[in-house]
Amino acid sequence: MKKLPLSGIYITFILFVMYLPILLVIIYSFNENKLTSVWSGFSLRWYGELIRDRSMFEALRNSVILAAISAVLAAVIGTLGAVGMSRAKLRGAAVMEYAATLPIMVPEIILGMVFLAFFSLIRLPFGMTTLVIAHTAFCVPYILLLVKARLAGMDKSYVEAARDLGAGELRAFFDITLPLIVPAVVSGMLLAVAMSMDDVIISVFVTGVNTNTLPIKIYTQIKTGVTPKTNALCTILFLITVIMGGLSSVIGSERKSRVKADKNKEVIN
Amino acid sequence: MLRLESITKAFDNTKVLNGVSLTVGAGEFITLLGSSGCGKTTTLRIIAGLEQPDSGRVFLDERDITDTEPNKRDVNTVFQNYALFPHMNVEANVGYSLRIRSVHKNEIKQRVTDALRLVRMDEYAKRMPAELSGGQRQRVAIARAVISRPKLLLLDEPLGALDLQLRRQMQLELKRLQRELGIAFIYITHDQEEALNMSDRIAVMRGGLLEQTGSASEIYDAPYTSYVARFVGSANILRGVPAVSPMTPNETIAVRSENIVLEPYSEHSRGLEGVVTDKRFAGGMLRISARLNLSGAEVVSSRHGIDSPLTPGQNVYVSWDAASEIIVKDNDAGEEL
Repeated sequence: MKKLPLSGIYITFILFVMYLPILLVIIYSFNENKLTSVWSGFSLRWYGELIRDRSMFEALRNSVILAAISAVLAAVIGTLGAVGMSRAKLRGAAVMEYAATLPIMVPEIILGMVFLAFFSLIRLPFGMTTLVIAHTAFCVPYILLLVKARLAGMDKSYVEAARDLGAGELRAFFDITLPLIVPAVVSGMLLAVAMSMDDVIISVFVTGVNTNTLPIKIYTQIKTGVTPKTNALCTILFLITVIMGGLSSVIGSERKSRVKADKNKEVIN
Repeated sequence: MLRLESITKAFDNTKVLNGVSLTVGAGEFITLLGSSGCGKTTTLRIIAGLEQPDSGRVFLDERDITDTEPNKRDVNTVFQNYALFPHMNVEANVGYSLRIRSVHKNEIKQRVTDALRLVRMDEYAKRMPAELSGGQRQRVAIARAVISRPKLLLLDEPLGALDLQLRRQMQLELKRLQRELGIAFIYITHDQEEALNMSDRIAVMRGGLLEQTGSASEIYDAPYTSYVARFVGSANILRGVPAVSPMTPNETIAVRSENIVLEPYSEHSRGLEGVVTDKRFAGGMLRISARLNLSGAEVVSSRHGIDSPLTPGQNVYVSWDAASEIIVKDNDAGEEL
């Protein structure tokens, strides 16, 4: 069947609408002019100013630390949860799974409010700690789902073979299960980092007075007018996200390509 | 060496094993033969410790191992899909059980080389499982299972995924291996030819029970039941025909197809009247089917040469030598095998 030309046009249009604003932001981040809407020449001036901006640097540092810690915590919790769920034959397994993935579906604004209420209830001082807890909480489902899918697709005879050959349960987990789910864990972590890096809503609710994350910083900057510096920052963030997302999907198929590469080597030899 | 005592097992209220008892001697090659769903894989998994029986006991060298974990049993398994660890190369796969036992590195290397040589895979030590063919994976799986010299090796339809030629070759190799290693093999298959070729003893399983256990010739020449007679060597079960041998009502006679004689009507021929219904090549010989006018039953003869003049539709006399009649317990209603 011949492809309709309409579908090509449609896809082009959608991609255009989706990516044009981003493209504009990237282009204008190299604008020399102080006004974002007037183009007066190419320059890296705003990137320079960005680097010199101490508060901006601090926000970036906070964001990176926050993303890293919460991704690691979420990876541990999510992986353990997925492994546990795959083995236990509990009556409430379905309910548990639903509950565990709920944070993805609940509107962020509600999550933010809930966290705010909860933290003030237990009198936890707002700042990095509360941010880490909140971010970990909403990152767990991504890792849980990815690892669970990986486990479900995994032939259980691998673990049985290991047990049969003399491995205790723990040994079989570390020798067989863990290496086989690592790609899922890593791609889940990268996804978590990306989610954490661009979260505004929940962060605004749970951050302290002195702790700014990059997204919050950008958000507050907009109130005082968008400068090309913001554009530069957005461009960097966008790049980080793209790289994270790309890595995440590459790692999923990494093993296959490695086998292929080995085969190619053989052909050459 | 291994003894199963009335093992039962049910999954979700479906009874899979209904009291399986079996004894396996040291160095014996025994085959569990049965169609799918007869419980043979479950029996194997219970011996390996991957499944717990609901009742009954498993003894290995007179030691009760029913509640022993799979890793503490001196029994290894070759899985149906081989279950080679996809993230380890051949060498690492084969040496896995020795690494767990903290055997010295140099010794592992030596024994892995030996084990791979035994299955003629020593050139593939650095390959990943994904880069091997089915037959090669099979050999690696066997090397991995025998390297720690278990007392007993369990093989779950290990040749099922291979093509016919490779299967025949592997049958011979497995037999050779078993003799060289001197360890007992419990082999699972639904292929009667495979069972007859390789086994010291065959246990025919059906509906979660062992229907008959014996040497290949015992099973073939003297089946107890009509099911065994049909399953092993597809004998003709002739119900309601005049037989020479005396029988009780729940018995019938079985006659191997090579003993069935079909003759065109003539003055000298005798036997039961029938009509040729089919004539075809199967398994390297001509098989001619005929329907008995007396009972409407179908009989198959395989004793005719390629040049047999019989054609479908022809009237024939069906006969057999009285000595070739086997009296069997009639216990199957001609279900699919």
